[in-house]
Formats: sequence, C-alpha cells, structure tokens
Amino acid sequence: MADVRRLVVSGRYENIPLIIDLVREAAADAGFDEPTVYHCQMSVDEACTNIVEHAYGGEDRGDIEVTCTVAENVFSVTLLDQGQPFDPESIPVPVIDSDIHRIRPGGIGLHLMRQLMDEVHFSFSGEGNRLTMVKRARDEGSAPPPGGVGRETTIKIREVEDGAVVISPDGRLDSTAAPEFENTMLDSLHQGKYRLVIDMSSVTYISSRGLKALVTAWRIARENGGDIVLCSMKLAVFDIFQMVGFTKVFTIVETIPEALSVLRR
Amino acid sequence: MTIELSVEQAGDIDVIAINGRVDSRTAPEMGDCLSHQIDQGSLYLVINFSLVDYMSSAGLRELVSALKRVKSAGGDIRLCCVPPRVNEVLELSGLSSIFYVFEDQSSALESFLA
Repeated sequence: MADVRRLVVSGRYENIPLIIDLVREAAADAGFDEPTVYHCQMSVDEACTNIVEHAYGGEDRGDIEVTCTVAENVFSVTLLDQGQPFDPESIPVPVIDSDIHRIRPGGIGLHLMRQLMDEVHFSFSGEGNRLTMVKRARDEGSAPPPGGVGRETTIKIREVEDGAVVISPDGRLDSTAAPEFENTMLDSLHQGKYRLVIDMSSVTYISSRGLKALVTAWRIARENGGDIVLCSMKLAVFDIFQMVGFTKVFTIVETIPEALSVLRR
Repeated sequence: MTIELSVEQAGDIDVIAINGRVDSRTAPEMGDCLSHQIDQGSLYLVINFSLVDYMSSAGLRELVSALKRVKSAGGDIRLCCVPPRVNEVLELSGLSSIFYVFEDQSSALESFLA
C-alpha cells in the first residue's frame, strides 16, 4: 500500500522550505540515495518557485497543496495551485550560447525539473494547476545522472607512421574524465613518444582539471624535445582556451594532418 | 534564513564569497550585491562558492544577468570552489559552458592575469 503525505501552505517563498522538508523525508523513505533525494528536493523547489512567481504572480495570492506518494523505489509528488492556468509549452527553452547577448536564461527551472525527474506532467482543470513529478530509484551501478553529467569519456589512441601519437578523447574533459586523459598522455610520454596530437573534435567541454592534464603533459613533452598540438577544436571549447589564455600556450590547428605537419617541423 | 556575502578586493578583481543557500528568497540579495559592485565599476569578479550548499535556477538567473553586464563592458565573472551539487546545476542548465569554473580561488584570480 502506498504511503501518502499531504501538506497545504500559503504560497510564499518562505514556506517553500516546509514543502521541501516533506519531500526530503518522503523521498528518503522511498529508499532513495542522497543525491536522488536532493534531485527531488531541487525539482520541487523549482516547481514551487514557478507557482508563486508565475501561476500566482506574487506571494500570498493562494495556497500550494503538496501530496507525496511513497512506494518502494518510487516517489511521486503532486503540486496543486489555483493560480493562472500554466501552459508548459509557453515557457521558453533556455538559450545558453557562447555569445553572451544571445543568452536567455528563462525557463531554466522547468528545464532542470525535466532533467532531474523521470516524469513531469502538467494539467489544468477546475481544481487548478496540477503538476505531477515521478522519480524512480536507479538500478545499482547505473550511476550516470540525467543530462549526461558523469558520462563516460572514451579515449581513442593511435600511432601514426612517423611515431607521433594521435589521442582522441570524446565527450566532456571534466574532473571525472581528466585523470584518465592525463594517464593516456603520460603513458605515451613514458614510452618515449614525445610528439602528441590531441584530436579535440569530439570534446564538448573542458574543465580546469582537463586543462591541467594538458599542461602537465605538455611540460613533459617540451622538456624532452617534443610538443603537443591540438586540432579540430569546437568553438565552445576554443572559447574556454581563449578565456584562460591557453591559446597562447598551445598550438591549435584545424585538422589532424596539419597537426602532424606542425610536429614534423 | 539569509545568505552572507562578503566582498574583498584583489587588485582590480572583486572576490565575492557567498555563504548559505541561494534560492528564490536569497538570490535577489546575491543579485543586488553583484549589481552594486558592477555599478561601482567592477568588471572582474571572482565568486567563491565554497560555502554554498545549494543553488536553484533563481541564483543562476542572477549570475547570468550580472555576467551579461560585465561582459558587455569587457569584463568577466569566474567561479571557484564550486561544490559538486552546485556544479551539477551549472552543468544541467548548460551554464558551465559560459562560466569558467576554477578549483580554487587563487587559480581563478590568476586566470584574470593570463
């Protein structure tokens, strides 16, 4: 039998923590791990903020009714309000662009809810706006959370005729993936292969940890008469290099053949 | 519940340390602090998140509007010491591609000197 918990609060920002407490307990009782409980809290926070801000258009204009249903490994939460009919289709998709003037951050809350929860449904009827969100426990070991955070990075490596090594990482070079990337480069260097091409064509993001890996490898290569040349970099990644001044440190070219010819000089 | 904000100068760079939860109630406070610094002519800001255990989209919106202001004047906002949970929000929202995040404050400061 499902365990149902209900709470009604007046639509004020300071009441949102009361709702979040209820959600935290219910999600924990559904047997979720801490990060999953946190995702439920976060989604409900975003949803309640939208209700106060958009459905009611301000504080103290009506109530928020929360119902949490807890079953083994499934948590669902329904939020009911009597504000303006809410149409999720009317919410813009957030635009995040490397051109700062094109960025429109509106709709991030809804975007986060959809990424964090397994199901998000809206309906409007005589009783008001009803939002239902469902979260299911993940299978053991299937660690990646939604949205690709922590997604596996695969690194391809091949040696070309003249002894240079082309390393092609894939995905996000963040703190999760960077150590493996660093080790891949170090392995080649330790084998005496000091000329490396890093094919960045499939890299979508690089964090400071990823940059640090490159610098570490680059120093060793240079100290031994070699070099590291980067190629085929996506614009968003190039922006990061530029921002931190790394375009002055590394040679960055368009294609792998070009990179190889730079290394032959 | 409120947040605490402290501002220190490191040369031309403002270091803003936030302590607390940045949500729909407290985000305007953070936004006001950033606007105030930018109004005073600050262009280079480092925001230290080491004591932030939570940030919702309300906080992200304030960061973006502050970033737009400094970028149009040739400046930048860089983030440091971002806890995993806050980092997750930055990544899920796509903002990790427009904000550069440093592991510690000194690397964030140094990045402005590069």
